[in-house]
This record gives sequence, C-alpha cells and structure tokens, in this order.
Amino acid sequence: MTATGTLSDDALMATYASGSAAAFEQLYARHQAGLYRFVRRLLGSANASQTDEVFQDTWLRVVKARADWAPQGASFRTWLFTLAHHRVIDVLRRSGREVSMDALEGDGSEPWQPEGLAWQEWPAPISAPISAHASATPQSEELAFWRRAGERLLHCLDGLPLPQRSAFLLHHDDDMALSEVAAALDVGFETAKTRLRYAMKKLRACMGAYLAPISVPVVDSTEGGAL
Amino acid sequence: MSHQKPIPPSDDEAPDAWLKGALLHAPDAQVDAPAALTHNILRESRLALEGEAAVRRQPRSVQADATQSSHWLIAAWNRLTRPAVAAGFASVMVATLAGVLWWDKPLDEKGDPPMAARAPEVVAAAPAAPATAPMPAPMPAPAPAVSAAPAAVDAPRGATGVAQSTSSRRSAPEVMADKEALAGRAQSTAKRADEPLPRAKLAKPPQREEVAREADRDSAKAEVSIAAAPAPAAAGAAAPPAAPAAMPAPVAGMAAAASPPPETAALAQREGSAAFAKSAQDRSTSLQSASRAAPGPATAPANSAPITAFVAPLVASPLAPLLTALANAPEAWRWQADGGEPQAVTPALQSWLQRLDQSAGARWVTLGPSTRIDDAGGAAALELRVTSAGTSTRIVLARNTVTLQRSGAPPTTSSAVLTPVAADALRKAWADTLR
Repeated sequence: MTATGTLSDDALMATYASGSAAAFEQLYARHQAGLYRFVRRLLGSANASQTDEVFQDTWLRVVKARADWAPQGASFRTWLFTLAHHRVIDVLRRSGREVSMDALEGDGSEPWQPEGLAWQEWPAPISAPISAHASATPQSEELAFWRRAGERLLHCLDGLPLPQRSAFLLHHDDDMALSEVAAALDVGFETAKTRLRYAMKKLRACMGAYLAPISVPVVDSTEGGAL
Repeated sequence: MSHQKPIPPSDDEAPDAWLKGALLHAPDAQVDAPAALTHNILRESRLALEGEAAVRRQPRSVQADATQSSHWLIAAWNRLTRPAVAAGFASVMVATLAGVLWWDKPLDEKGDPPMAARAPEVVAAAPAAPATAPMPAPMPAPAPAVSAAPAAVDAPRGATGVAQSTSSRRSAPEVMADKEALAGRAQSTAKRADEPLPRAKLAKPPQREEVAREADRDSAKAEVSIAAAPAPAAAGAAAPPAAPAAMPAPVAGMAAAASPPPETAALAQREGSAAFAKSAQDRSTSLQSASRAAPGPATAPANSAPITAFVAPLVASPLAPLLTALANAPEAWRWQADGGEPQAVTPALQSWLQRLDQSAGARWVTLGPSTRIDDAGGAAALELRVTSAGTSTRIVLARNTVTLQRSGAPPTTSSAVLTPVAADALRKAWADTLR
C-alpha cells in the first residue's frame, strides 16, 4: 500500500484527478464491496443480473468526473452511493418498472406488527458475521439462524418500495447517518427518516411473521421451506 | 445461544440490531465485484489518466489545429443558429425573395423609364457623325437603355458650370477626341454667362415645364417621328431630360432625374448649361415677345411625339446665348447674310433664329474647334453672320445641316441636322422676311 492508504476519500479523489492511478485503486478497494452489495440489493433479485452494469457505470462516472469533482458538503462516499442510486433508478425505469419515489407508497395502513414474542425468541443480535468455521453447537445453530434471517431479509427487501429500500440499505448496511442518507437520496432529513421508519416497520413485520425462534422451526408454506 | 429479550429499537436513527445482523449474514453479504469487472474499471481509470497525459504532451499547435479543424464547423453552425443571426439571414432572404418577385414583373410595371426617357441614351450611344459627313439613315427604334442614373448624377454637376471630365462611363469616340477642348469651352461658356443662376434656380420645376411645353409645340410642328429621327449623337445626348406637361407625374420625375450618360453629353451639357440656364430663364420673356404665335399647351397633343417632346426642351442649344444677347441688347448687334451689308438686328431676324433653334431642337452636335464648315450646299447654302463687339457667330444652313461657328476663346462649332421639311421652311422664311 502506498502513502495514499492513509488519505481520506476526498484527498484520494483529488490525487486521482491529478494523475495518480493508485489513488483510484485505493478508493476502489475501499468502496467496491459495499457499493456492489448496495447496488445488488437495491436492484433486487429480479434485476440482479444488471448489478455489474450499474456498478461499472457508477465507477466510470467517477472516473469521468474526476476533474470536475469537488466536495460540496457531501463526502465522496455519499456522492458515490448517490451515483449508484441514480443509475439503479435508470435501470429500473428502463426495465419497465414504475419507480415511485413516494416514501409511503403501498402504505395504505399501518404494517402488520408481529407479536412481541417473536423478538424475544431470537438470538441476541450480533455485530459481526459468525464465522462459518465455528464448530460449537450453539454458534452453528445461531449461524444457521442468521443465515436464514439474512435470506429472509433479502426476500423482504424485495417487497419494499425503492425509496424505503434505499434508505434502509444506506442506513443499516452502509452505516450512513440519517443525514447522509438524506443527502445521498437527495431528500430532506425528515423524508429520509420517514422512509427509514416505514422500511423498518415493514421489515420487522416481514421478518417476525416468518422467522420463527430457533427452538420452534416452522414451515414456510409460501416458500415451501423451513425458516 | 443467548435468549435475551432485546427491546425493539424505538429510535429510527439507530440501526435495528436484528435487521443489521440479518444483513450481515445474508447470502450476498460477502460478494465482491467480479474480478473481470474490477479489472475493467481499473483499466478504464488508468486509460483515462493516460489519455489525459497524452493530450497534455501534445503540442499546443497540434491541439489547436485539431480543435480548429474539428470544431470549426460546429462553432460556425452554433453562431448561425443564434436567434439574432438566424433572424438576420431570414430577413435578407425575405427581402431577396421580394425583390426577385418584384423584378419578375413585366417591363412596364417595373417603373422603368419610358421610351422617351431612354431616347437620349440611345441617341448618345450612336456614333457621332462628323459635321461634313452626310447624315446617317434614320435610326431604328431605340434599344432599351439600361442606365440613366450615372448621367443623372452628372447632371447637377454640369448645371453648376464646373467642367470636370470625371465620371465618364460611356462616350462616343469621335466626340471624346475633343474632350479637352470641350472642357475648355465649357469653362469659357460659363465665364461668358452674365449671371449664372444658382443651382436651385435651375431646378425650378415651372421653368422646366415651360420649356418642355415649348419643345412639345416645336416637336408637333416639326412632325418628327421617333423612327425617322436621325442620330446627332452628342447633341441628342446633351439634352437634359424634362417632363412634358402632359407626362404623368412619376414619369416626369424619372425624366427629370435622367440625363445623358455619355461623357460627350455631359460635356456638352456643361458647356451650355450656364447659358442655357439663363436662356431658360429668359425664354419666358423673349419667346413671348417673339412674333410667332405658339399654340397653348392644352392644344398640343400630349403624346404626339413623346421622344422629341422629351428631348427638345432641355437641349443646351449653342444658339441660346446668341438669342439671349440679341433679346437683351439688339442694338449692339449687326448681321449680314451671304456677304451683304451689315444690318441692324430686327425682330424678324430674332424670330428666324428662334425658329432655327427650335427646328434644331436637341440635334446639336458639338464639333471640334477646327472643324471646317461644310458649304456643300453651294449657292443654295445660306450663310448668316451675326456680330457684336468682339463676338461673331456664323450660321450656315446647307442642305439639311445647320452649322454654327462662334468666335471667342476658344471658338466653338456646333452642327445640327434638320428635317428636310424644317430646312425648307427655314429657307422659305428667310427668303420671305429677310432677303
């Protein structure tokens, strides 16, 4: 790693604009995973095949905009995800899907809330993925649970409107503060907050309805598999 | 496994730990961009930098040339598509279209000068015949004259008496040979004029109309047709146009604006302009005192001889100064015919001279000072000499040609070809009243 490893994103972008390819490589290494995941999840399973295209277009836009890019109150990361978000919207519109930017789309009523017991049966939340090589029984059970939870969550995300999905992903997956989410989505803070609130309620309901506690596995009749 | 009872987060700004945990263990959580895709993106980023560096290394002139060649058309097109420029082009095109449509009309509707107005130019275009040469055959119908405007420009200049041999666009070659002499004579003529009229006075419409009416009457008497008109080129061209009384206003305006274009015409007009100006002023009085009773304008046929009527009135007649002088001071002049005894000037002589002047009309041709007067008429020729103190004017009427030789510095010689009828009438009048 060169000296660029210690530079901020903005400094790296400026360095790349001045002619350093290594700076761009450093930037890419920092954000490619999160961006690729964000794009893939935002596109959903139906449009997952276009993830590579959107991902590449986003980075090429960064390349082209290197000379004109200047931090204007937002971080490079926020700008990067904004580019990706716009490209996803373009792809979805091009594919014929109506992309409503209304945060309350589909919210005719308050989402169904599972019984409070559902959360009580879940394992304690973890902040890092459980290693697949962990061999202890409880951990393997928890790992299986969280893997099922992850799969279920992706399924639930597909049911969210795009604005709520993007707000949730930026906030929970990419660890952006709500203000950054608002900036990335080019909306006001309250709008971002509302979108996030609705997204979380729906996801909780979705997850709690079908994700049974570990001790009592249930069969998901809709998907034909145990959750 | 810990079966704690987590409290669902109430603050939306705080991530939901369970949902976040689920995201961390989602099947796509560890998915990275494909290596090929990463390679492409990084390659593109490097290529962009290399291309930029190559452009930087390129000589400035090459860059400028490339930019100039590739963007010249685009820049020009961008300029042309500006609203102001586009509107300007549209206006020009509309004006051009309107002009083309207007010019596409028939000749008569284009406001071209009438045939009468074109006559002087046609006459001027004919080669000037020497005084001794037999008169050419009657001219055919005049071809359409193209430009009367240049002569119109010269006309006022000539009226001021300033003889300058400029703006010569067309000329009769024979007359051009005496160009310098003509200019000198024009100066002397201007000097001899007693009181040169101011320019504005020359352009006075009533005088022109009156002269035009006179010419109209003369032309009616002479029964000169257009086709039969011979071609005394320079004299015809020297006729400043005027609008006959019966002429419509626009035509009259055009006729007044037109003047003989050839240099000969201009010179001849300059030569006689000062004297003619005065004579035109005095004609109203001198002609009234003449014995001849002229018919009124109303009785004259309006278009009996349009060309002659148009040409005749404003001819710079070489006789005009003499007529004026005779009218002003007849006692100072003597005349003798065919070598006879000098006699006092009588009204009969003045009347005959006026008749001669009117018969000659616009046919006067200015000849070189050394031109020998042809007396081919022999015994039939009529020679009249009118003299005063230091001034002598010799008039010879031989066959149909009248030649006027005026002494002075420099001497001038003019000639006019009369119609046979007019020449016979003059001889008869001479024999009846003066012989």
